[in-house]
Order: sequence, then C-alpha cells, then structure tokens
Amino acid sequence: MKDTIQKLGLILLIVVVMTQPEAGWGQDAKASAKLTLVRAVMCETIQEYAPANPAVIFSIKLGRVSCFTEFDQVPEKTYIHHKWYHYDHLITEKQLTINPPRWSSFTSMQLRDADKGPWRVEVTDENDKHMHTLRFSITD
Amino acid sequence: MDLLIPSPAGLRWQDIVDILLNSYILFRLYVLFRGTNVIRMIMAIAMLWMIERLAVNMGLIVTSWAMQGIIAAAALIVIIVFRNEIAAVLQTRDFKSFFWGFPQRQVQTPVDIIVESVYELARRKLGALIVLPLKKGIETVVQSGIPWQGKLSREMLLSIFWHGTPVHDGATIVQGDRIVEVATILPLSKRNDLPSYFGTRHRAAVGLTEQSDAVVIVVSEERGHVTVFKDESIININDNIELDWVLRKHTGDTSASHGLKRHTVELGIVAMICLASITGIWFSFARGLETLMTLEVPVEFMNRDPKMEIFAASASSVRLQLSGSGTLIKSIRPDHVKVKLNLANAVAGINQVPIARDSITLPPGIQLKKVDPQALEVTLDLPVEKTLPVQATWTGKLADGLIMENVRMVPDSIKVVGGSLTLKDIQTIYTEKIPLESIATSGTASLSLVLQPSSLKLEDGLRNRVDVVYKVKRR
Repeated sequence: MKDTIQKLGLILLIVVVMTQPEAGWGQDAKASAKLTLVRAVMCETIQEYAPANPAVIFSIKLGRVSCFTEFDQVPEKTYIHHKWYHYDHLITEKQLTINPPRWSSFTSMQLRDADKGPWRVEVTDENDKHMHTLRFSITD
Repeated sequence: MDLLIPSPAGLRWQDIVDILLNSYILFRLYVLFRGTNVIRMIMAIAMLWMIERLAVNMGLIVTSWAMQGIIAAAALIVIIVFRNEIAAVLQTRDFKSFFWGFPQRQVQTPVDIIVESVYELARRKLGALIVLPLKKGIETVVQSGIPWQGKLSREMLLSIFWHGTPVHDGATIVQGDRIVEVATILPLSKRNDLPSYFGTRHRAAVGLTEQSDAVVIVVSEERGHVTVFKDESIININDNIELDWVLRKHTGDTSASHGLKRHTVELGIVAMICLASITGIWFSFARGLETLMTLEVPVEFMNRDPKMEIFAASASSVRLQLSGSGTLIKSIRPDHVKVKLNLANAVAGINQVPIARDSITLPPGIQLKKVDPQALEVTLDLPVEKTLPVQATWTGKLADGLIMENVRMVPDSIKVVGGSLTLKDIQTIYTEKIPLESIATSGTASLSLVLQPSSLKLEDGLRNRVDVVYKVKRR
C-alpha cells in the first residue's frame, strides 16, 4: 500500500514538473506579443482588402466613407471597436473581430446631408483602451 | 418684511414716523431762522409754490411756468442776499440747538440797569448809543464792531462811553443781559426831515431803525437828553419812569409770564402748521392715484460658494410690475430697485432660484405687483483646466482632382478653462471654418478657435490662433 502511494506521488510530481514550465512559457509569449495597430486610415472605399484613396476630407457626394485598420502581431483572437463621432456626439460604435496572426478590418458610414462637418473615429481594444484617433471632415 | 403692518386707518407706523420726523425737521428750521429775514423769504417762496401748484391744477400753463421760474430765482436770491444772516444763524447756534435745544427767547434784558445807566450817562453828559436788537437781528446791517461779551452793569456802560476810552465811539449792542459788541458802526439815515439838533448818533439810530426792528437809545453829549428810536418813532424821554415804560413796552418785558405764554402759544401754532403741512405733502406724495409701472431690473447674485463660478443664467434681468402714487412712481430711478438672489444653497450644476419678495428692494411706498420670471435657472460650476485636441473645420468643396491626404494642427492640442460639468462633455476644440474652394496646393493657414459654450476660456496667456498645415495631392 505504502509503495503504491509512493509511486502515485512520484507520477504526480513528474506530471507537475512536466506541465508547469509549458504553462509559464505560454503566458510569457502572450505578454510579449501585444496587439499592435500598424495602420489606420480613412478612405473613400476598400478595394481588394486595401484602402483606396486615403484622405482626411471627403465629399458628401461619395455617399460612403470607411475606416480601415490593420493589425500585426495578433496574439489571439480579440475584439476592437470603431467609435464614430460627429463633432463630439457618438454616432455609432462597431465591434470587429481580430484574429491571429495578422488581421485587417474596416467599418463604413453611409453619408447623409446632415453629416457634413468634422468627424473622428476612435479605435479602442476589447478593454476599451484607446489605441488611435482618426480625424476627418465631410464637406460639400 | 412684515414690519409693514397697516394700521386700521391705512397708515403704517413707518408713515406716522415719517410725518412726525419731517414735521420736527421743519419746526427746527423755523426755530433756527425765526426772527430773521430768511424765514420770511422762505414763507414767501412757500406761498409762491402753493400758487404754482394751484396754477398747474387749474391748467394755467404760463402762470405755472412763470411761478416755477420765480421760485427758482427766489431760492437763489435768498441764498445770495441773506448769506451773512444764514451764516450767522448757523455759526452762533451750538450743536444741541440744531436738533434738540428747546427755543428760548433771549434772556430778558435787565431794563432797570439800562435805565439807571442811561440816566447816569445823561447826568454826566456822556454821549451814548445803545442798541437792543429784537426779532429780526442786525447782523446784516451793522459793521465792524469789537466783540465784548461782558455782563451788563451800570459801571461797564459808564466805562464804555467815558470820554477818551478807545471804544466810546460807535454803538454798544446789548443782547439779553450781555454787552455783545462795542464801537459798532451803524448805517446813517438819509432822511432830510430830522431835527437840526440831531447829531451823528441820532442819524445812526434812525438809520438802524429804518432797516431793523431794534430799539436804539441815544444820549446826547451836548444837552444830556435821552431819545429812544423804534421803527419810525422818535421818543424824547423826560424821566426814568418814562424810559423804563418805553423800554419794557418795546422789548416785550411788560410781563414776563405773559411773554412766556405768548412765546409758547406761538411755537405751538408753528408746530401745528408744520405738522399739517407735512401731513398734506405726505398724503399728496404717498396717497395719490395708484399708478402701475414695469421696470427691467438687473439681477445681482450674492453669497455663492467662492470656489464656484456662475457659468450661465436663464436671464440677467427681471421685469417687475410696481404700483404706487403717481409722484412716487415717477421719482423711481433704476438704481432705487434691486433684485439680489441668494446663492448660498446653490450647488454645482443647474439651480432653480426663486425670486422671492425678500430678494427685491423697493423704495418706501412702492408695492410689488408682479415678477417675471418668477425663478431663474442658474448654472454654477467648479472651474477646471483641460487639454483638448484641436480639429480644423472645413467647408465648401475641394476641387475634383484633388485629395487632401493629411492635415496637421500646430499646436495639436490646447489648454482651456471652463466648468467641470461643461468640460466633461467636450472632447475637441474646433477651428473657425476654412473654405476649401481656394485650396489648390499644400499650404498653411492661421485660424482662430471657436470656444463653445462662450463660458470656455483659453488658459491665461494663450493666443486664440492655431496653424493648420495641409497636404494635397492629385488623384
């Protein structure tokens, strides 16, 4: 009986020793690979997964404007938010899924006549931590 | 405020105090100036004023205008012509006599001493000129005497008029039981009908009685005769008894108790006239036809927390509808009415502050009918600093072939000061609008910032200008 308990204890110790470092390495890897925004632009449209005609002033006649964000080093599946503000009023907030290892995503806004004026899009991570602000204007 | 309790007769206790106080002031003025020419002129002006009011009520346009002009001129003339008399009254009265000292007639002149002295002077043929001023006073008529202020006595009078003394020329003025002035120069009469034996003393005595109500005694140096002058009367005195009788008759000393009684009755009548006049004036002011008036009054805020500031108020003034007699309503000036709101209990944010009756100060006799608005919305806030990004505001249309690919603000953020609640919702400071039509190439523009709401301020020393650096390219 005593031998059996000793063997079980030894096996448990081996399992703990074998599994513990692996878990620690996993956490370190996640911590070092932080979600990084490498590009954020406002553009007229998205063509072939890339922003077309990036700019900071858009005519209302375009009918639509897009916010393109590109992430490198996505350690794990996560979410980001695009918050669209006209003057200082929040117009819409969109949640986007970001997948490893690299990911690009965009949101668009349909333009109406009342949307003329200064705008900004705030990009935040899943914890609502601010990552970047894009400022642009809608004009005639 | 509820001290204003109306009495059954419709009079408040304040109204009664008002009438009594002003009646007393009028009575005191009479007491101070009685016996002078000023009081007679003031009474004449008062009569003119009554005539003027009557003329106004009867619709006599030219008469009322003329009376107004005469009254204004008369008031000016009184001050100029009687300035010496006014100054004498004000200078000779002590502080107590202005407000309280009950008016006493001058101390009774000791006629016996004068009679005795005058006959001693006559016996010795010492020329003398003695003046006893009565009601009118003689300050404006006589000139350059020497102040004496000595107690009247036979020896003193003899000494003054003794040959060779420096003060024996001129008149000696006796008031009450004192010799107040000696060697005084009196005005000479220009009458041609005076007896030939009258010398300069007699002529001076006549001159003074022509211009005042004083009694003047003259002792002739040559003949030792005694003559008393009063108004237009020239009384040759034959003996002591006659002089005593004449002096007592004219100085009012025929009976001391009778004089005191007459004096009290006179003051009593004057007091009643003053009371009646002021009551009449009060009623004409305060109890006239009710008149309504609307006044726009600025609001004053007080007792706010010193840490907080007023960032907004729904109105800066209120409209008050007031009522009162026409005279009082017409006399109201904007600075007579005040609206003071107490912000002692106000908190940060929007406060509804009612405009209560005790917040409004009105002149006496004016009633409040209506307040509009009845409450103000006052926004108080704690001033804080916040650094905010600056964003350009574009307007118009960019040329079709161009794309504005980048805009940079210099500086890109700015520190503003404003209420904490206001700044909580403000994330960006925008510039004035920039027209796009004129843009063809990259460049820089200098713009001013739009601070909305207007309570926002730039940090001290900051210039309200930023530069916008823009970059355009062809499509």
